[in-house]
Amino acid sequence: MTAQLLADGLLTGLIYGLTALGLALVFGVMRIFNLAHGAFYALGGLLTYTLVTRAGLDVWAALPVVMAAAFALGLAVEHTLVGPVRGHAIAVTVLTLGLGVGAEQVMQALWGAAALSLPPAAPVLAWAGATLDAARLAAGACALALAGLTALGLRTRLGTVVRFTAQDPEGAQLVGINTDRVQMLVFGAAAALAGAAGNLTATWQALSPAMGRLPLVVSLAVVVVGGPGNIPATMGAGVFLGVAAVLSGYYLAPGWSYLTPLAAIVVSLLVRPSGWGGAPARRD
Amino acid sequence: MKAVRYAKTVTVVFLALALLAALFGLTACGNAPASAVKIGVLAPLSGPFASGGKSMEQGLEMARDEINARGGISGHPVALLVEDTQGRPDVARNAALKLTGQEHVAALVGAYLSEETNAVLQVAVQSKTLLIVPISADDALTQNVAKDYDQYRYLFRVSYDIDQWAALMGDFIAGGLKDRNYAFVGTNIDWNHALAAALAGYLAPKGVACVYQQYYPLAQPAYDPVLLALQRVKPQVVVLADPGGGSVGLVKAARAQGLVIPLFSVGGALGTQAVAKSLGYGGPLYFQAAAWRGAAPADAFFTSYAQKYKSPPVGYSDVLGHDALTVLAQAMNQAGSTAPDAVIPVLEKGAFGGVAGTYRFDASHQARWGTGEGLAGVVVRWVNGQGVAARWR
Repeated sequence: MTAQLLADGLLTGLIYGLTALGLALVFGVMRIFNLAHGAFYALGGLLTYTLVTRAGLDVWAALPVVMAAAFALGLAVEHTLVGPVRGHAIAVTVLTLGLGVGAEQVMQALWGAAALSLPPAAPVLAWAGATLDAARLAAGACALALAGLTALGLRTRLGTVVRFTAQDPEGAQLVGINTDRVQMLVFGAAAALAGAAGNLTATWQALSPAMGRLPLVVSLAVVVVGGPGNIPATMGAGVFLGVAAVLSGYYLAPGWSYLTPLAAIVVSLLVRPSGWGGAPARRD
Repeated sequence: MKAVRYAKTVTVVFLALALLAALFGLTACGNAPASAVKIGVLAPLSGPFASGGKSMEQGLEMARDEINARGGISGHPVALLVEDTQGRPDVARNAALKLTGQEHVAALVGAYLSEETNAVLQVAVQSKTLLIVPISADDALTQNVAKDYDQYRYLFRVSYDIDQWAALMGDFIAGGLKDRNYAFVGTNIDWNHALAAALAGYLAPKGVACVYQQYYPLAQPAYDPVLLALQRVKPQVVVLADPGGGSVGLVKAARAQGLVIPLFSVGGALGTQAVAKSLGYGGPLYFQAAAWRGAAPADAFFTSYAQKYKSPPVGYSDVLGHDALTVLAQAMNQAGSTAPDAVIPVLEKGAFGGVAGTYRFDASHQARWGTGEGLAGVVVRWVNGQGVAARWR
């Protein structure tokens, strides 16, 4: 039983971490909370549904297509809507909240209101007293790989530019870095990661335009607990919250699985506002 | 300069969204011919209950087309004026005020959630407008009629209430499956607590015990802890009280944990054929429906609906939406009038055919559902993606 609980918690947590990664990047680099983040997650799930049922792709083959589409949409949203008000945190928050609501309506018009569902993508495995959907296992591995790639990406030349922009945007501008373009790229990459999370979870949940609401709340909790802009800390916070949600849901009551992320937000803000994964990237 | 550019961009985006909304029919009321009998419809067409609201609307459209093909109501065509309630009582109330105050509808059909219908009921009572309830199951709605007939006589409910729902499902658990115990799992909403209590009260005298009862939050359906507990308790059947998409996630998680316990859903998302085909669940999967293929009126409805909307009905919100308007139209035709005071006595005394069977109303204006009544409901089992009526009686 314990093995099953831990396995469920770990895999849930890895997806929490991947979903939150984009939000953490955007907050770390742009200092804004993108409340439309859940919409990119929902888009990932729904686009996967269309690619599987209409284009005949399998879920895994759909992943790069979904990420590319979410990336392009993220770039467009940042360039046309978020970019012009980037310096006004409240305006960005209200704008992205409105975008999230509007995006749900557009997705409902495109995919309908009914719950959609994809068939299982892989068999069920039994190992060491735990039973696991192989697709969920693969999704967890994929989440880790994407987080690793993102971390590696931040160590490249472009990654150094991104980190410099996060630490000192004015200084970055002074040395000739086009910070507008860097922030647009980060927003696009965040959208792609959210879309990837929507794709990876598409076979084990109902798909609907509203499916991004919960991941947004959980992502906020992960970012607050892990601290912004720190990839290992974000993934670690995701796993911590995933395991905590499953354990509290089993040993206390299922309702605690929702209260756990909310409680984590409150405790972290009270005890360690900068998150548990070290100091956030400094701006000045 | 930047601000001007931004203002222009935002304007263009919002205009584009408005255009999209108009193109996809998100705007509510349409234009009705002057001679038409206007019926106001209140359904959640956006938000978390949009799926059920949409199928209810489609059932109503089917009924409207059938009624108009037969000559309408006293020779006048029926026009539906549809308002999106968003699953919110305040929005539902405002929509009802608009439909009764501005559109002067002959009757209201709706809403979906009991909380919404409660808000709408007050408007119907104040404006003395007939309110036909196709979905909401809260017992208190029709108890109003029993307690204060003069004030609340405008309300009639075609759907089963919670006690009747419990009896329909309880009869199948005790009589059809011959199970001696069950578990009750669902979303943490008041309605489910009431259903769980009604089901336990109905089954206890029959010697069937509830061995596990648990609710997961609507916002964060935590399936794994619930499923692990079910593995430990091993009930003979699990009643799944979640009409929304959460039930789909739960069945998929049950598959991932290797569960094969029979699942008995209250209906809703698990009544959708495309969803059922995708689940891959190893155990038997049942759901409660108001009607299903197998009887003449239902067969015709299911075929026409599938042809029109390119997917089969779920047998609940679509059937009951259809029947709500069908019953109302029959009563208005028999009364020869759309005036509530003429239609109410007809509804109280008459029998009205629908897809689910023959509707008769009791003293509290509740349709009579149950064994031996004209409305028995159907338990459906999914077999290889096909819904098969489980006829055990």
